[in-house]
Amino acid sequence: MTSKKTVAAMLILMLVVVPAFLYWLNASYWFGVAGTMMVFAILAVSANLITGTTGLLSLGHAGFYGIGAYTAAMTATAWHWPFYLTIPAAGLAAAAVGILLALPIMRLVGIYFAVATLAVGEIIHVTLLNWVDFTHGPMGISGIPGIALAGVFKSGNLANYFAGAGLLIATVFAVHRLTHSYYGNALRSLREDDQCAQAMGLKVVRIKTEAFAFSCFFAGVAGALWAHTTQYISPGDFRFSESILILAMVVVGGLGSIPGALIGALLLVGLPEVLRPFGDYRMIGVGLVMFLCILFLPRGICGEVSAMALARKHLNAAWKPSQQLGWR
Amino acid sequence: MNMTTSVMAHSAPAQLLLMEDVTRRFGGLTAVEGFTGHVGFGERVGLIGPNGAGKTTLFNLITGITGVSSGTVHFCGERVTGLAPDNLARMGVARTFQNLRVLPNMSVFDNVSIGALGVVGHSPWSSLLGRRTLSNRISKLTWQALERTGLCDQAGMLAANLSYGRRKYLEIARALALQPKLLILDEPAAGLNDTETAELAFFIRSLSDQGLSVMLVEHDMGFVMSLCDRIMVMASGRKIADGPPAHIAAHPAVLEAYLGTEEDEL
Repeated sequence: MTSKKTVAAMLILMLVVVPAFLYWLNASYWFGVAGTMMVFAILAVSANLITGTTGLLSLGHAGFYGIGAYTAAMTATAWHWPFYLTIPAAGLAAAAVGILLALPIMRLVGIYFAVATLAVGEIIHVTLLNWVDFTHGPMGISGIPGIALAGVFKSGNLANYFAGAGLLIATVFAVHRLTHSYYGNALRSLREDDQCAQAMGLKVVRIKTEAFAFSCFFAGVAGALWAHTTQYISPGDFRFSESILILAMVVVGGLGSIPGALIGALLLVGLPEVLRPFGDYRMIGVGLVMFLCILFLPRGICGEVSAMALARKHLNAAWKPSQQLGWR
Repeated sequence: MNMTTSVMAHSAPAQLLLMEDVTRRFGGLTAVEGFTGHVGFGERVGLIGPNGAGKTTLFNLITGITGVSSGTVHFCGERVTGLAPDNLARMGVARTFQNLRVLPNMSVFDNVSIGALGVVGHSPWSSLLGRRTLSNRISKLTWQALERTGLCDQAGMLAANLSYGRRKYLEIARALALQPKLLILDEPAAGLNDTETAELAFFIRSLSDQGLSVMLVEHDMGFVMSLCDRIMVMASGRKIADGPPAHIAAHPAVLEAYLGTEEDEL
């Protein structure tokens, strides 16, 4: 999967073949689908870092995606920042919120952590929805400038496509560096047995916070990409259902695997589009694919660990009366 | 007591590990009560006692997994009472677990590298920027530990696929990668056959010949008696005897704890 030739082939496909084909077709609609795929691919890869590799079940990923999107939208519309400033700013804002939230919730164990992140995601969504003076509430923010550089290229389908591709490649590269190194071993050891990892000298809470911050950073970047490519955002884009969709991508692709997260995003964004002729029945098809994945591929398409085993571990920790409940 | 403690902390330590009046209560249950004892430099100390005597709790107190209710623990002359397990591990207290806790979905090499990571340190930035300084040191320490435990050939194997006996060595390798001063082994011979037990005793002896202090809990009396320089005996949370194997084997309190009193027999 990770051999150099495969990577080169994927890059050529992504950077040359697909955009050339879509450009030749002049298919704005499919450019939009490709853009959505890349946004969710970044989200899935970043969620995979915290849930798949580090083993912390995060149910609030859409919240950080939303913080990124709103940071980019507001800095771009109010202060006219160009995209090359709004995108890192969106990542940093999401990471900063992530670190602040990690301080209290990172000591929670297993399912309690998951519930806390769920609450965080909902808090962010409700804040975006109701803080009307600041976020425009349910009306959302429109007129976000597209991705363009004066005198070099104009905003449009191709600019959006290549911005998405560039950010996706950068995300995959960074997350691959993080997970395929000794630092990645530290992250995986927390997934397998964090008490044992601590007995081996690892600063468990600090590593979890770092992983969470990086994960939030890339979620924020994805949000900025979404804001600039769709040019209109509203709180409805960042609901709990988006968090679950991202999690489903990670589980279908396989926990702990970057190619898995990419395939998961491709499948779960692409499938509803491909099945569109079947109308509303298509969601049954999507559900069926997810169900079959869990049933026949317990490790996802190319994962390191079984999702059910991880879930069972989290629930066990909550049910065992001998353990100190909730805190470690 | 306080006077002597503070003097100990500032002069060169006489003992590697010193526990004074250590007590741990869980609700109404006192698991360890007023335990005083030490481990010297390069010593092999055994800790024995009937089931439920508080041996594993004592290990958890030494390694910081459980906090003490009262009493003090000194390591290398420094007061370490209340320190977190990762702090203690970096200072040189490495342990293995009673029920093996290898990381099953990771390779043997990656398992051992966790110990090396603990002592070398870790930073996401050095990984992100692809710097080799930390990773070179980690890989050197990992290979050293694998070599000492004879696991080099299985380095690429998934830990879950390792035989039970080899997993014991894997846990020891992971602890050795931490470059410990004190190695704490919780029932290292449990589940091993006689040949494997003898090999393990030989291996632990070779480690301590290289200057490592070892403290172990074990139920196999032959193993403890032949391997350890000194044995501490616990019963119902208290230390009831402390001395060389020959002394322990003949100690009336020990015989009573294991076999019951003569009146009980009637």
